[in-house]
Amino acid sequence: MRKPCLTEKALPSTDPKRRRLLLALGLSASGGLALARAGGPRAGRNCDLLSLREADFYHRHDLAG
Amino acid sequence: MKRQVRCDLCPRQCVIPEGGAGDCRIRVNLEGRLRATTYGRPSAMHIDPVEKKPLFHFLPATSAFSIATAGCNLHCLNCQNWPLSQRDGTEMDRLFHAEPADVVAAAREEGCRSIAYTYSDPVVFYEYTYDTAELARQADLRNLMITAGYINREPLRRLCRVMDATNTDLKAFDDAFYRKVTTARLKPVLDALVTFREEGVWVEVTNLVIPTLNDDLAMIRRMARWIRDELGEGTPLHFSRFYPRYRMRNLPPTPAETLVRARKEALDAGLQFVYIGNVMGNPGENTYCPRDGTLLISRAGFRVTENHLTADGRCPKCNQKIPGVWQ
Repeated sequence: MRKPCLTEKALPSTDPKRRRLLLALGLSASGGLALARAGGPRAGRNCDLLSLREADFYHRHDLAG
Repeated sequence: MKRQVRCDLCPRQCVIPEGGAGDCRIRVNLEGRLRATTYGRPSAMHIDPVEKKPLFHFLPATSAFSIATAGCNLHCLNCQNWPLSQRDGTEMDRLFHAEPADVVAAAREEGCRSIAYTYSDPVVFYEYTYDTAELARQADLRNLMITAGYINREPLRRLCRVMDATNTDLKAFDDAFYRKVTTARLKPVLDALVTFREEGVWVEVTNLVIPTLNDDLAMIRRMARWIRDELGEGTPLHFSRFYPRYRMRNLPPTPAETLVRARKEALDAGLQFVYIGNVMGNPGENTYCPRDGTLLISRAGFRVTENHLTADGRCPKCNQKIPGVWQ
């Protein structure tokens, strides 16, 4: 298991930590696409961390604690 | 309750705490749901000859629109693409935004016949691969999966519905090598190869030969026999030359003679199409008729210089059917 690299803690969109995280993912804190570092074939999509595609093939693995 | 999840995609079956990532770095538990963080965010997009994958028996001399995202579920000490594979999406200098429809449209626009999911490993960008491949099929494009084959059977079977061909790395025929050099295991890779065959996906196999680590001829013979028996004698096997990279810079490039010996061993074991890769100008790059030895396809690196196959993939002299997807 590698170190956690992303955390989503329901931070407000103005929170600097959340902004950094979103920007690193290529998303702007306000929801628009940033991709400032790369440019890309399309721009202007609305996106947020919790709208990232949910993965297939996993299940809950709850532990008390 | 801590909202952990267990990823069932690959044999690692990572149990991932909230806010954490799997071993692949890019599948992340956000609020108890696993998210594919590089979906629609490739970090590499290129147009390659299909021979570069390498696929030698699949639409020769055509172009494959090739995409990859960050991340990998193997951590090979000799990884050639480590700046891509051994990072998560947040660490990439290049991060395109290309939804599956964008990829398919770009591939069509560029005149490609196929889309290759490659460079890192499409296993870890599974959902992006599947959705893109499904759309590609509708657009009359073929799908190529270039992979280490470290994936569980159920997700692979589903992916095979939309895959046309694979080049799967069989990195050694030795579990100890897998554990030491790649951090993976051998058995799931063999299972994946068999699954590809069972599901009707065209299979070619690559073995990167690393001096002193996996160049033992007895092991190569066992591997070739396994391929012959489990995948068929017509399965192309590519022996590829190692170059020192990443965390394995202490070994020299593979001598060409080693590859020639490996090729002979595999031919002697009964495989009909054995190739040498990463060595320009070697006759082992060419395809010969297994019945009468006629030169069928001549290659120089990734370029096809002559193609004498008939339109339906037969030897023009003896009419021997050559396995592959030719049109």
